[in-house]
Amino acid sequence: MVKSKDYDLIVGLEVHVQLQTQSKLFCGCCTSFGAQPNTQTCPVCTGMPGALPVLNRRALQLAIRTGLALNCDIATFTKWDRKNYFYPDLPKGYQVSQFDLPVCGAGYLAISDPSSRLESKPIRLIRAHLEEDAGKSLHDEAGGLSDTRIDLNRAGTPLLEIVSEPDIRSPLEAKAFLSELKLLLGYLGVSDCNMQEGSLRVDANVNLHVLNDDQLSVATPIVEVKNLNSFRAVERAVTYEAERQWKLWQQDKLTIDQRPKQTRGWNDAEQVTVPQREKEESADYRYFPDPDLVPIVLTADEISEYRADLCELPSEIRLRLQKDYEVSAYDSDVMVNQGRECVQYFEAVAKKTNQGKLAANWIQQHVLQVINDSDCEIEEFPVNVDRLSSLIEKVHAGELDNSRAKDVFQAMLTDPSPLEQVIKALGIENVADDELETICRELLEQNPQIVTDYQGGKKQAIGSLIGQAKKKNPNANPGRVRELLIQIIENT
Amino acid sequence: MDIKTIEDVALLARLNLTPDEISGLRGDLENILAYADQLSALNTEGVQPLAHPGDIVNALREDEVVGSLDRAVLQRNSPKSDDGFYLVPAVLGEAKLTQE
Repeated sequence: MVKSKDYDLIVGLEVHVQLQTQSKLFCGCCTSFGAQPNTQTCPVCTGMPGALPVLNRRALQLAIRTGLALNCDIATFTKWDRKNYFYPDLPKGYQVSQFDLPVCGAGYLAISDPSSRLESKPIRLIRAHLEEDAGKSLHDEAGGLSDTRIDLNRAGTPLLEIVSEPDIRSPLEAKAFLSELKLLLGYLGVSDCNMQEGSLRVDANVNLHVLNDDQLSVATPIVEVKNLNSFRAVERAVTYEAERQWKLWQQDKLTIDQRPKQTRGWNDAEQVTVPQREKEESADYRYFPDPDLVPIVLTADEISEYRADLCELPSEIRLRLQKDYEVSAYDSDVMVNQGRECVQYFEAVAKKTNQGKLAANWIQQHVLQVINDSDCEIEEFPVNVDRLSSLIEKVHAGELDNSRAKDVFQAMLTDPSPLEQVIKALGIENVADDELETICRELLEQNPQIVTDYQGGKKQAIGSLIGQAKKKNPNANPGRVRELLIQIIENT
Repeated sequence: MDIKTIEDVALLARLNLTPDEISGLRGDLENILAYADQLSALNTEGVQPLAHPGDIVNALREDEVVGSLDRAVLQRNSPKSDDGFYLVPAVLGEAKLTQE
């Protein structure tokens, strides 16, 4: 764990997000995942001489939308650059990216600070730029010398690379940042963020601030951990790096100026970071403007239009639910984090029943539990808005007590009949007052000690009788039983 | 231009040069640089950097899928392919110069 006395952990993240477009960034090849190898390529994305790339309008729109939601300055002039390097899955010998004039400039994303829950902390962003993805190399896993296989279907897929300032101070904050970013991208409809399919990839820059022998704060060399493909991997890799770098510092006392940035990879099986071998000379990408692609000019009016078109963002919805439905900050957070569909479901139930708090409780304690356990989507959840609303109305009217309502809810998961029928099928019916009174009188006669305790001021003593009443008749309404018990004791 | 610089540039271009070739290239590269360096003689004060020599901006296409090119046709350009994949000499374990 992070020992704050020894060092401060400093983390910046680079997140590559695959944008949800039908076609690639500069050509009309399909971007869908899982096609047969090299069936979604053309002269543009395989880098044939003379092929002419043309920018995908939707990719640009999605980048601008994301930038606005991340509070970034949107460039009124943005251009394309070639980043040159040789690798077999990069057919052109360069990647089209954005060097000095990215589409999105500085911004920030507010996360809820894991050390003080629900307290907001802004993580500043340096920039977000558009670029094309490379293809995929399938190496010989056995480590033999057989050929590496190349699939270029992914080459040219639009990516938005979002780069944070080194504002992250713990593995948990790194995870909170990624979760909030993923949630935001989902609400914006910008990316499916499917990490298994590589739609969201993370590199983490990690170093420490430590005290040197003169008790001055100094920075240790930066290490970039590449290709983290799950939030858990990010959390663990950052934790691992912090400890490794702390040990290293105690041995070599090397500071950031004394050693160039190093690249390491995360080995998920071994749960360690390993050095990635690099040649001695530093990477030299020799960026230059791409002559095949013309710049993009955006007017302030166009940017304002994009801003006006922006949907309601998770941070805004969290506040609105608290205000409109009087739910707690915690309740609101849980539902918003579940996704847009859950918020819509909640709002529909809350409006129908006029019981925001009760609706939030039912959704969190029952609906989400079933959904998260069964991997089912809320849109296809068997207890739809109307059915949950009618159940909540019955609970609110006192016609169903909580434990019976839970039974009804469970039955509704498999029984699509109308609520009244489900209730009837469970044998739930209101017990007449005279019948309840008989039960209460019997119980009080059998338990004189409880009556004495109650009269002596121990009001909670009658609680055990409510349970016994329910054993005698499962339909007994606990609230009514309590009322009757008190009535009988006080009238004798 | 020193030999080391030429070796570095050759490595970036993945060229395996003999000492003879390097010394020959030295003169050529110096000439090329001198030629380009003539631009430095111009006074560029107040001149905006040029992002693109053309006047066109905002050339965009709609996000529509158009048919890809037949794999067999494209793979005629490749010295080696198998089962739909391009085959290249094993890269695992080899030092990667750079990676995105």
